[in-house]
Formats: sequence, C-alpha cells, structure tokens
Amino acid sequence: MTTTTAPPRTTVVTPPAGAAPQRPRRINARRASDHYAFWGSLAGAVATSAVLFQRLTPFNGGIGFVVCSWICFLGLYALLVSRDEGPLTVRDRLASAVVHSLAAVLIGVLFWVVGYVFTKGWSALSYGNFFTEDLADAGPTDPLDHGGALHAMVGTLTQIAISLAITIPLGFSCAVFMSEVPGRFSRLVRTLVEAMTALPSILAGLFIYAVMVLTLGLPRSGLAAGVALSVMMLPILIRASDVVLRLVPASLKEASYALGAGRWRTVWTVTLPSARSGLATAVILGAARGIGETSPVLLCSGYTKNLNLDPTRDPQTSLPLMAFTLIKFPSELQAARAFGAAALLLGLVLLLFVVARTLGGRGPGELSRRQRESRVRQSAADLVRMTNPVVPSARKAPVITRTLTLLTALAVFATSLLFGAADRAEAAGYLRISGAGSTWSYNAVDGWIKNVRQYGMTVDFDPQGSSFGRNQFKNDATDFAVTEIPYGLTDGGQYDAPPPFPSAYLPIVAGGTSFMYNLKINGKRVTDLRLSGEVIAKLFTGGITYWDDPLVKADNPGLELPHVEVHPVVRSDGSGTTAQFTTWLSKRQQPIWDDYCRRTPRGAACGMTSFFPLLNGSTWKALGSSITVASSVANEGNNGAITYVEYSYAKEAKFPVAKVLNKAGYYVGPTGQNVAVALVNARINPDLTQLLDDVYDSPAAASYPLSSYSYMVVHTTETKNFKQDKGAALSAFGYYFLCEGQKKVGDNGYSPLTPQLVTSGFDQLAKIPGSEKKAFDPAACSNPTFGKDGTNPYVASAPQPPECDKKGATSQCGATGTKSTGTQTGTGTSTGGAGNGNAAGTGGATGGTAAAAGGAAGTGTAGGTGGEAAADDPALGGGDGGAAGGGSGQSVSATAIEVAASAGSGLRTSLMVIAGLLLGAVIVLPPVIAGRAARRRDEEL
Amino acid sequence: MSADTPVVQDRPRALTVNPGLADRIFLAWARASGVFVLAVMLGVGGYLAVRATEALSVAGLSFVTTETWNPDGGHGQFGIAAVLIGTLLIGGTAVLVAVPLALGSALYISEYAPRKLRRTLVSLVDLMAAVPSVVYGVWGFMLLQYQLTGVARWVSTYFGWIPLFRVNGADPDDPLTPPLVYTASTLMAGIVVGFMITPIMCSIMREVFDQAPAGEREGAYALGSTRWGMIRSVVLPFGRGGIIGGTMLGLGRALGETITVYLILSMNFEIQPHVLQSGGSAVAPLIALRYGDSTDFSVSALMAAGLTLFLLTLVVNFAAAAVVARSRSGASS
Repeated sequence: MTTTTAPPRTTVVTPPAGAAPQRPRRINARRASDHYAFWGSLAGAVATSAVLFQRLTPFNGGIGFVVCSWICFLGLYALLVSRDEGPLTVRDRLASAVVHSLAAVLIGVLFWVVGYVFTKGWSALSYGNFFTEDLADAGPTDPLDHGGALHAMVGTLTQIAISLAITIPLGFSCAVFMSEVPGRFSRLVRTLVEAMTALPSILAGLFIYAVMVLTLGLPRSGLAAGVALSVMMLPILIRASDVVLRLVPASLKEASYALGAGRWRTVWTVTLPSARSGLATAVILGAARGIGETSPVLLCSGYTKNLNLDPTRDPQTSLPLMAFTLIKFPSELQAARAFGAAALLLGLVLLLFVVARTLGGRGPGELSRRQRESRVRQSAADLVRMTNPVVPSARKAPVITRTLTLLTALAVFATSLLFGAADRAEAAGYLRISGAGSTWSYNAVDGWIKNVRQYGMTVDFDPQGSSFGRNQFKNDATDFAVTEIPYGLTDGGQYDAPPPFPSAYLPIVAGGTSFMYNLKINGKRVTDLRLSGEVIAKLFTGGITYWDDPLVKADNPGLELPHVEVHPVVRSDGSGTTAQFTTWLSKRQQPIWDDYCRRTPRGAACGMTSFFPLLNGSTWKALGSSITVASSVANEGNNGAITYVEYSYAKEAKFPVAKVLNKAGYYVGPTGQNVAVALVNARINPDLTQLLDDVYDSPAAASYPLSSYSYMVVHTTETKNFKQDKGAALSAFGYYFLCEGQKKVGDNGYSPLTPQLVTSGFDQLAKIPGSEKKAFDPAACSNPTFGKDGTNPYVASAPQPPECDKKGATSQCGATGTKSTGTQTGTGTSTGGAGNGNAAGTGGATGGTAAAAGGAAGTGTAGGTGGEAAADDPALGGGDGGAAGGGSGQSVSATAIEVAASAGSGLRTSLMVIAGLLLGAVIVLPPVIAGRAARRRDEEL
Repeated sequence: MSADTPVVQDRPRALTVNPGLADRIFLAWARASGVFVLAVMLGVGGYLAVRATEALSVAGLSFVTTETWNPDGGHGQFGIAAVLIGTLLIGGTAVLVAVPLALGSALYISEYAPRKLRRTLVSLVDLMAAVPSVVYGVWGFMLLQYQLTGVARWVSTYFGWIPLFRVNGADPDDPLTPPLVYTASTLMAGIVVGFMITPIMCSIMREVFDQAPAGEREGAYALGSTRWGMIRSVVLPFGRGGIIGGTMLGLGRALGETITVYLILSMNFEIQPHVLQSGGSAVAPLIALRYGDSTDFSVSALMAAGLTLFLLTLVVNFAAAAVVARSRSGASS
C-alpha cells in the first residue's frame, strides 16, 4: 500500500446561491400511482369475484370468496403496475403483496382462533359458578348456571405442579451437566435430548401408561398424568435451559474461577444467577406447553366430572381433556362448557406467556433499569462501607437457593393441603370409587352418579367404550366396569379372557339400541321413519345406498323419500353398542352380515364383534363414542346420515329414531315400555348374562326387537386396588341404582330392570367384599316395575302400537314428514302405587295430564316432567310420558340434595379459594420473589 | 549459583486438580442427572421396542404391508401400511399449508415490517406457538372444517380427475351432496395441524433471516436490486438451512400430533389417498383411540405402531438438526 503525501483533496460543494434547498429523496415513499394501482386492483378484484360468485359459484362460503378475490387482486395488481414499471418492479411489488398477505393470514388465524374460542366460551365463562363448581351436579341438559370447570382447573394445576416438581430440578441439573461438564458423554446426552424435543406427547403418555398402569399395576391418576407430562416436557426444558446457560459469558465464569471459587460455587453463584431470566422463561414456556397437552392426561388419568384433590388415585381431569371430551357432545350446552374450558386454558397460557415475556428477554448478566439504578446506589454505599469498614453481615444464601427453597416449601405446603383436604373429604362419606366403560348406558350411569352425591358418594366414570371398561377392569385399573357384553366371548378370532380374579355381573339398566337418523324431505325433518330388519342390515352393509331405495319405500308407504345418499356412521372404538348390534345382525340377518364381513379386510364371517368392520374404500364415518356418532348425525349438514346408538342419545340431541319392525308386524320405537315388553322374553343365564334370541322374536305387539341389558362387572374378592372400603361404597351405589335409580331411567330413554333381575342384583351386590349386604325388600324399592302382587306394572303399562304402525296398513302414522303430533291415544294405564305412580303417556301434550292423573302425590312436578318428556320425544307418536309420580319420594330426595349442597358448599368454596390462591401463587410468586431477592442481593453485594 | 550444580531441566509443574468435597458431589450429581435423563430418554424408545417385539414377531413383514388394524386377528390382520401413509399424508398437507405461511410471515417480520411492529409480531407468533393443540382442535372441529367444505367441493369438482383429489361417493352434479363427505378428511386435519406448526417454523426461519449479513444486503441494494431481488439473492440462499430445518422440525411436530387429528379425522384403516374425502388414518390418534380397548397383544401392536412413529420423528428431527448445522447460518440456531 502506498501512502500518498498529497493533502486530501476534498471538494466542498457549495450550493448555488438562491437555489431551492435540497431535500433528501424519500426512498420508500409511495407515489400516487402506486396507491391507485393498489386500491384500484383491490376494488376490481372484489368486484370481479363478486360477479364470479354470482355467475359461476365455484366456491361457496367466505373463505372461497377471499381466496378468489386474492387471486384476482394479484393478477390485476400485476397488470396495473406493469403499465408504468419494469418487470423487476412488478415482481417486487407482487412479492411484497404476497408476503404481506401471508403474514396477515397467519396473524388473522391467531386472532380468529383466539376470538372464536373466547366468544363461544363466553356464555359459560359469564357464569360465576363455572369457576367455583365441578361438573358432578350438571347433567347434559342442565343449563350453564349449573356446574363448572373447577375440577379441571384443579387437575391442570396439580398435574403441572407435579411435572414441574420433577422437571425443574432434573432439567436444570442436566442442563448444567451439559454445559459445565463437557465431554463425549454430555455431547451424547445433548444430541439425544435435542432429538427427543419432538417426542410426540402420545408416546410419552403411552410409555407411562404402559409402565405405571399396565406393568406396575398402579391406578390411573393425576400423578401418572403429571409424570407423563414431565417425560414430555423434560427434553424441551433441558434444551431451552442449555441454550440459556451456554450464553453465559465465559469471562464471568473465568472471573469466578480466578477468585478461587470451585466449580459448584461458580455454577451456583455465577452461572445460574446470571441466566436467571432465561431459565425462568424456559420454565414458564415449558409449563405452557405441558398445560395444553391432552393425550398424556387422557391415557394416564382419564376423564371424570368430579373434583379430585388427590393426585395419587382416581381419575383427575384437566382443562384440555375437559374441552376435548365435552366438545364431542351433541348438546349446545356441553359445547359451550367445552369452549369455556378451552378459553380458560387459553387464558392461562396467555397469562404464562405474558409473565414469560416481561420476565425474560434479557440476556445473561444484562440488567433491567431498576437493577442498574440499584447497582449505582450500591456502589455509592460500597464506597462508604470501604472508607469506614464494619464487620460484614452474614452472607445470605444465593438467590436461586432461596427461590428453590420457597418453591419447594410452596409445593410441600400445597401437597399437604391437598392430601389433608382429600382425607377430610373422604372421612365424611364413602370412599371414592371409579369406573370405566360403556357409553351405551352412560346417560343412565351419569344420572345416578349425580344423584348419589347427596349420600356422600363420589363415583367417577370414564365413558370410553365397553371394551375399554372390560380391559381396565381386567388390569385392576378401575373399580368397576360397565359393559354390554360379558367376558369370554370370541371377537375376530380373539378370546376375551375373563379377569384373573373372581368377578360378577350385575345388570344395571335396560335399553334399546336405536337407529338415529338425519333425513329431510323438502327441508322438513322426517320424524317417523320405519325400518324392517332386512333394511337395517342392508343400510349398514352397503346394500342400500340411497334413501329412495324400493326396500325403504316399502317400509314407508307414506313418505316421499328423497334421492339422498345413505351415510352410515359407525363406531371406531371397541363398543358394546356395536357388539349388541352385530349380535342381532349375526343372529337375525346372518346372510347379509356374513357376506359383508367376507368383503371387508377380515375376509371371514365376523359374527358378534365390538369393532365394526369397514370395506376397503368405504366413505363411511367411523367415530369414537356414542356421543360422537350421535353428534355427527345431529349435525345440521349431515342429511342422509344414520347411526346405531342407545335411544337416550337421540333423545338428548332431540333427534328422531327409526321405528323397527317386530315379529308381531308392528313398527315400534325404543321407548322404555317397549324395551321392557321385549325383555320379558330375555333368557338370563345363571351368571345373569343375557341371551337375546327370544327378545329379537318377541311376539308382543309392543316389543322393540333390539332391546338388551347393560351390565356392571364387580369384584367379588379383594384385589390390590380394590379393598373392603371401596366395596362398601360400590355396594351402596349398587343398592341405590337397582331401586331408586331405576325410577327415572324411563325418561332418559332407558328401561327399568325387572323385579327378578333386581333380586338377583341384590345377591350379586352381597358378594362384593365389604358389601352392606342389604336384604331385598320390594316395598322399599321404588323401581317402577314392582307391582303390588308380583306383577310388572311397567310392562303392563306399555301402550299397544297404533294400527297405522302395523306393517301393511294403508296409511303410515303421521307420515307428513313433519313432527308427529301423537295421533294415537295411549291406553294410559296408571298405577298409583307407593311411591311409584306411573303413567304411560298419551301423545304430545296430553302426556302431562296422564302423568298428573297417575301420580299419587306431588302432581304438579310429576305432570310437568311428564309433559316435558313427551314433548322431547319427536320420534315416537306415542310419547313415553313415563313420568314417575312418586311424589313423596321425590320431595324427600329434593330436600336431601339441598342439604347436601349447603353442607358441601362451605368446603367447596374454601377449596376453590385455596385453588385460586395456589394458581396466583404459582404464577406470580416465583418472579416476584426472584426479583426481590435479586434486588436485595444487588444491595448487599 | 555455582557452576558445578547440575542444570535442572525445566519441567512443567504437574497440575493436580483436587476438587473439594462439594465439587465432587456437584460433579457426581450433574453426571447422575445426565445419566438419568439419558436413561429416561432411551427408556421410552427401549420400552416401546421391547413391548413391540411380541406383536412384531407375530406379524413379521406383514406389519409393514397390511392396511387393516385388527391385532387380535393375528398374523396378516394388522399393519401400519395405512396408518403410516395416513400420517405422512397429514404431515405433508400440514407442511404444504405451513411452509408458504411461515416463509411469508418470517420474511415479513424480518424484511418488511416496520421496526416498531417487529417485536410485537415476534411475540404474537411465539404466542401462537404456545396455544394448546386442543384449542386448535375445537376450532377446526367445530368451525373450520365446515367453512372449508366449499373449497374442498370446488377442488374435487374441477380437479377430481387427479386421483389425489377424487372424492368417492360425491356427485359433482348434485349440489345437495351433504358436506359430510368433505369433512373429517385428511385435508381438514392437515390444514389445522398446518396452522399449528406454522409459528414453530416461522420463528426458526425468522431467526435465520435476521442473521443474513448486512454487508451482502447493502451490496445487493447497491447493485440496483429491488427488495425482492435482494431477498432472493441474499436472504433466501443464506437462510436455506433454516428453511429446510424449520420445515422438518414442523413436520416432526405434525407427525406426532394427536388430539387435533383425533377430533377431526374419521379413522379408516386403509390406504386412502383421496385427501379431500372423509376418512383417513394416523398413528398417534390410533393409539389414543385404541389404547384402552386393547388386549395385551393389541397393546403390543400399538407399541409397535408407536415405535414406528417414534423412529420416524427421530429421523426427521436428526435430519433437521443436521441440515441446520451444515448450513451457512447453522451455527447459531
């Protein structure tokens, strides 16, 4: 490089005098023409796509319109810009437009999701009780001022506390190991941890489920869910903290070593404190991830409607699981609760996120303004201290220690509180029991669970299908199972072995497997479809693909059936409903069913199966529970859908079910009475299981062919997880539902048990270890099937089906395609007995009167219920206004509920306050403590 | 010093590191926690593998080729052909949705957005990544899939000749075909999962784009490039590693997504390549659906399916890490 000796030649340009002062050119300025091009093409695009929509209707719906306008806009914009710019600029403009709109879409989706969930959830959130109650007292049809999400909030907090208690110490020490003890081994750990950050949460759940529940035989619980969450969160937390720790400047550590500090002291007093803000952010973001996970909780803990403060046993639900479970219900109310839970969850995550943002974002060693100011004050104080030295005060423990100690203390405190509360709660009544299984009878079981709360019983029930229940029971992971079919059957070539310990079957309720459909004629819902057995078999085996098939028409001479495709919706899980339906198919429609099965991948006749086989290339919907299939059929848009489901689900969704042709040649609906009539012919095996062949062929005119019983499987000896105290609770629950509980099942779309089965049920209950061993007393049993002299008034009350429902009758009942108004006049046999006033309603509004007349006492209430039941029943002209009068019994139970509620509310309110305080403490305290401790330390140093 | 004194050779002093008790405990503790974490991580994979062997030994090779899922039926009655392809289809759809969105948003945040807005946008995207999957699930289940049936219908009507977009059981001439056949499809599940993984991909891409060297950017501008020209010639080539790595990380998340897919998809155990048509399958929801119904042997079969998913996500993740590490911008991300 040569150096020049010449003086720098700088030319100073002096602006010519008098010229206008120069302004810098604005680089990013938009000219008028740019604006014209932009707005012009936008307007043009909207107009064009409006025209396209009018003429061609390629899409429908808002999204289609937006996409269409967007494409038009890009084209027009390119055209307009190219009129006064070169191709490079055109491309630049287009790219800019595309990038802007993509970013807008992403942010738009965020606001759409958040806004949608909050608007939908608002109806539930606006009730205070949503935050103070659990769902135990709220049935599916109870309005939103009943029940709430307290149990899910408590569950979420407990589980996340457990998982944080595991992940924080372990994750931090592992991260410290990776950054402070370098070497081949720590590199291996780091690689593996990084790879595991993408571990699907379901696998973490499956792993813990298999280890803790299947192998170790522990019950499914909040603890298992917490552990599963921590397996999932651990790699995420380690990775995030490792990144933070690696950012700690080496100079800080070197300085510490140079001052003679050892390794652990350097880590403890330099590395961790300087990475504090980053570590806190890592924890909070990890917690936000863990809080939102559903599948580990689904597998390891399970759903319940009850508040559970004890994470070591019994199911404990969490907010995401609650949202996930309730969203599948066909009822608007449950959906609103699901959205409420989702909104609450979202709020919690938002809160955590905001805390993380305010706390974090600073690099290691970087100070906030307040910290800097305090450092300045500190220096001034130090100067004073050094000039006149005093004895230094005892060194305080470093911040992290203090924070950790406090956190631990908090955790210990919370845990002891929870355990203490749980023990107190249990001391008051029966031990908490949990069951799992059928969705077929879930609506009945759910009602009983709600009612036995007044007696101090807490029963959890996880409705995930009969096969699920049988397996959970077999694994001793649940206290009882509810199932439609017994153990010991062969399904798909697999023998379903009975559990390794003795058990007994206890019939709990009867009901009809009904065919719920969604079919409209000229926009009016069909409510009186009639189907014969063959047609049903063909509908569900692909033999009939359109509703106007001659076979369907033959069953429905009065209906102008539309040319709409049949869309069967079947169950995809192991289901007792499927088992009941396929048992009937294999016994009564065997050729059709066997032929179908051979065409499916199974390749052989399947007989009875819990898993509905589908053809290759099938477009049928296969969904996971009774709730989901009913909800899918009830979806407004799903015209032509039909499914098999217990009658109560159709009632709940206010949807019609098909009347099925019976042996006597009548088309009848699955009302309680009709089911009871058919089940008179059921053959009961010595172990109380059912043989339904004669039910299918019942000669009674009012019999519903697809009637059956649902069973509870109970322990008859003590096992590892089932002891006498649980037996006492289970038997008390059994004594309740065999008598008192049967009173109302008729209204819910089920049918009460016969006296014989109730008697045998009492014998079974006596076998449960720890049973109360009550003697059977017909007078004390308010089951509507108990007559004075051994008759069954419930069966006797069944109305004869009207002549217009007879096969071959010239007209079809109410065949207008509109709501049936109840043309037939029921026989209305009313039996005013001791506490079981029982009225078979006539149709429609008259049901109320009939019930009122039949009821012995408390007529007002009973009449109201009767009328409601009949009105809820658009499917069947008859209307089963089977309102149990039982005035005296009802009023007694009503007071009991009130008393229990007032007694429970004190405990519940205090628990709620504690939960709220804990939530606040967990979120607010750590950063506050950390900040305060940091300031104090700054002042001391 | 006298002359006859032998010259002592200079030797480096042997440094004896004698860590105190506290340090030794600390090191042991750190190592132990490392070993423990390693054991847990390996334990997940190892346990899955051990439990899966029972089913794999019965099924043999048919595990890879069988479509149906009926483990109790024995050999040839269960396999992952359908669920695995279903998983990949959903993952593919999700990535197809997410890549343009993530790329566009990342470019917007790093290149176009006003400086004041940038921090807010970064926070918003991070927040979107933290929104629980069940929230996306209920949104997709209740709202989005019905909003999108129109689009699906249009695509199947005009592009139905492409096998991927064919919808069996839908009559394009019949305007009254119920939306049922278009909902609960691979496409709907894929789109919702796509929205879920977009923010993850977006933040990785943005971080990489931010590191594109200022000198090269200025150079491109100085040579007369437009902004898009600069992005194409500087930012995108520089960030290629981040784009690919981020995409693969997103794919890994999409493959393992359970709850959203479970809510939306109607499970069908067959290779169903018609993405617009109702029905599909995936490994994660299969496990959630069947874990409880299963006999011991079926659980083993589920473990085998889980193991496949585990290996798949592991491979995708390792590949992502390798791509990112090898790229120019890799060192920092």
